[in-house]
Amino acid sequence: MSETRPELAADLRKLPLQERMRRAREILERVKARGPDPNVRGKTMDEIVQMVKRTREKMAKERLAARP
Amino acid sequence: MRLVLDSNEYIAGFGDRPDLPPARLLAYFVARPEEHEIVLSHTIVEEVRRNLLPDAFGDFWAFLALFGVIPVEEWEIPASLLAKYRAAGLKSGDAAIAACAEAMGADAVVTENRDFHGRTGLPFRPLRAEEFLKEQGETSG
Repeated sequence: MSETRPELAADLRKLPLQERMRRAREILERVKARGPDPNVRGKTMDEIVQMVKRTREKMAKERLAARP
Repeated sequence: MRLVLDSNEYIAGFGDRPDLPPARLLAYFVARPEEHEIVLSHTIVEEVRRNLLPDAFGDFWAFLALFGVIPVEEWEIPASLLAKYRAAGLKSGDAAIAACAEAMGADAVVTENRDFHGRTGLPFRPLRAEEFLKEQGETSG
């Protein structure tokens, strides 16, 4: 997954739009080929929202605790 | 239109749930990349990271890089905005997303989180993915 490195991400932004979108389509095809992530498999949209909200509030507490 | 896409949209989309609207939302942006600007905060990136396996998170990250999206740092969001949204009744985590949207001048926050919907007086419009797509003339299915 070398394309996730920040310096390469900056290079990606220099590519022509058409090429970038071709690669974006490839990513979505790869996602589809992989199948549902275990974290969201079988969940309704509302269940996904609730899962994220739990993470969100946990992170907010962590940020608060990390304050000097 | 400048848009914040909430974590729940990315997680459903990159978690491969083709039956849910966020998958169509991502495909829409690929089909019409010049019409909107996506902004997001590090909070959203971290929420996605914590809720998807590494391969799916890597795809999310690479996808955003192709759109030239650079996450907003927490220090770029004024504390006064966070306080404003907390005072308005949003939970701390949601207040951080709203503050990011206002700080970045977003026109809309696309989210399925009900806590954003039905609120008045926000400087951005909270829209569900389905509502956003409908407004853009994208038919469902």
